[in-house]
Amino acid sequence: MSVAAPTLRRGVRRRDAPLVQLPWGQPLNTLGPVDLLSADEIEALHATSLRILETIGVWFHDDDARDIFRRAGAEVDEDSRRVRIGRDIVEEALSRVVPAFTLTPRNPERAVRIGDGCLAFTTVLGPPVCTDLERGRRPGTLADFADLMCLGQHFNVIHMMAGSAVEPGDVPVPLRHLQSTRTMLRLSDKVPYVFCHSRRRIHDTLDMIAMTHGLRREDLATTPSTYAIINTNSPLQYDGPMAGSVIEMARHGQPVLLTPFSLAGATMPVSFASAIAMSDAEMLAGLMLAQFVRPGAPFVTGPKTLNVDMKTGAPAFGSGQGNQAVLVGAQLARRYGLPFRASNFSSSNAPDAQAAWESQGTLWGPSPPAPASSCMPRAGSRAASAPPSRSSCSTSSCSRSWRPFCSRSGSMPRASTRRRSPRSVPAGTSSARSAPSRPTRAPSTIR
Amino acid sequence: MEVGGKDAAQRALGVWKKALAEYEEPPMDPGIAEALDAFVARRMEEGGAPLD
Repeated sequence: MSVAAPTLRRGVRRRDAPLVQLPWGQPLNTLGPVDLLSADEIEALHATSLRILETIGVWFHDDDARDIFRRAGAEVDEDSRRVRIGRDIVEEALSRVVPAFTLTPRNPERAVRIGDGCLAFTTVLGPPVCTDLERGRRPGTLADFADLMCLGQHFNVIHMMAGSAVEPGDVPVPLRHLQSTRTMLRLSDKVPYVFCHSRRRIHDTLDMIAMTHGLRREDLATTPSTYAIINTNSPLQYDGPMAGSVIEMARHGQPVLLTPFSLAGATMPVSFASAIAMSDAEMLAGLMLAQFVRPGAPFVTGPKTLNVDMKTGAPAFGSGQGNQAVLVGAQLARRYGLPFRASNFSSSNAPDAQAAWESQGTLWGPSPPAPASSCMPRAGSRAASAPPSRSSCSTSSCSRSWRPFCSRSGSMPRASTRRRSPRSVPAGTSSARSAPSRPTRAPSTIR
Repeated sequence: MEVGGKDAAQRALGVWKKALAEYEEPPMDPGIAEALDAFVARRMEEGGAPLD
């Protein structure tokens, strides 16, 4: 009995003690990179992507984008909207990229370095559903969104916010970016996320972010302070909103994390070498667009090349081949001198051993083994960093803390990637009406 | 329940509740907060931004 009593008392003390956290700070990746391919093989991939850009081209469904490529010397066919880009143009754009930059949010103490071996982790982006043990699985609301913003702010392992930690489905779509951005900016002083999908949304979001700096949107260009994620419409296409977003972000001096979401055997050739080359061509097309709008525009690459379950067409998140593609993507990022982003992916529906194992595998591009730059797995999934570390700025450990909170039932909420994966719905716990003695927060009540 | 008797999901339930309880809203200049609210109110009045 003398054993039981101390155990009880210890339990009581632990429940009352505050959560123990490491202090705020970015981890540095000090490990050497993993080169999965030889230098010759990387050059062969690059040569193939150049050949794709030159002979097949990329379809840009945005008038401004085609105009920018025409002025850069590319061959543009207005009828088909196809843009063929010569290798000299590609090389010129690549000569303009910056290997590292700093994002400064409204609280300068929360500034985040992207590149230089610094790792950055973000919250998850885009799950439509959240779940917790008490209230079960449900469509997200603005109140859930606010709770998740608070958690992202509270945990020091999260360096940047990634927009919709859960989609606030109770806010009408045309107003959602306004409500979400205000809530995010009020509840967090970490690097915010830009809701893209249209020029007007980007302008609204950047207007609000500029306000928190005491600036006008037009003056934001010298202060990189936010970021957006762009998915190409594989194969080899950029729709109007995605191309327009690349242009607007570059115009305002803000980085995009360009992520072709390429599915070998679905939107891409089934051979992984071909899929990676095609994905690389798509990334380079976006890079050129940004660099021709603003030379030296901050830019992060973060291709996702996955195989699909050939029975269902669902992306096979966390597969061995997909993880190899992440390492190759990071190697290409080092070849180009770009920060790199990776995402935390898993096919598991629960925060279990499979989820941990697969998530860890998907984050090795930016992180320890294949340092490219920064990274952004959301705290659920994205990580970015720059050579040599993770590249863009997502988060891997976030995934650990967030995966339990959010379920990401499907893939990216973007045009060509809207395909749902029936197998990718993790379970978890989420926000909380039932949280004990939570402070009242204005934004949750502003609707 | 005995220490060690909870699984990861049950432990997470306590962790996020504690994190929310500990959360402190970062200070924002009242003028900026007002400007943000006014901007959002105006843009919502205008109908926001329909998808392209």
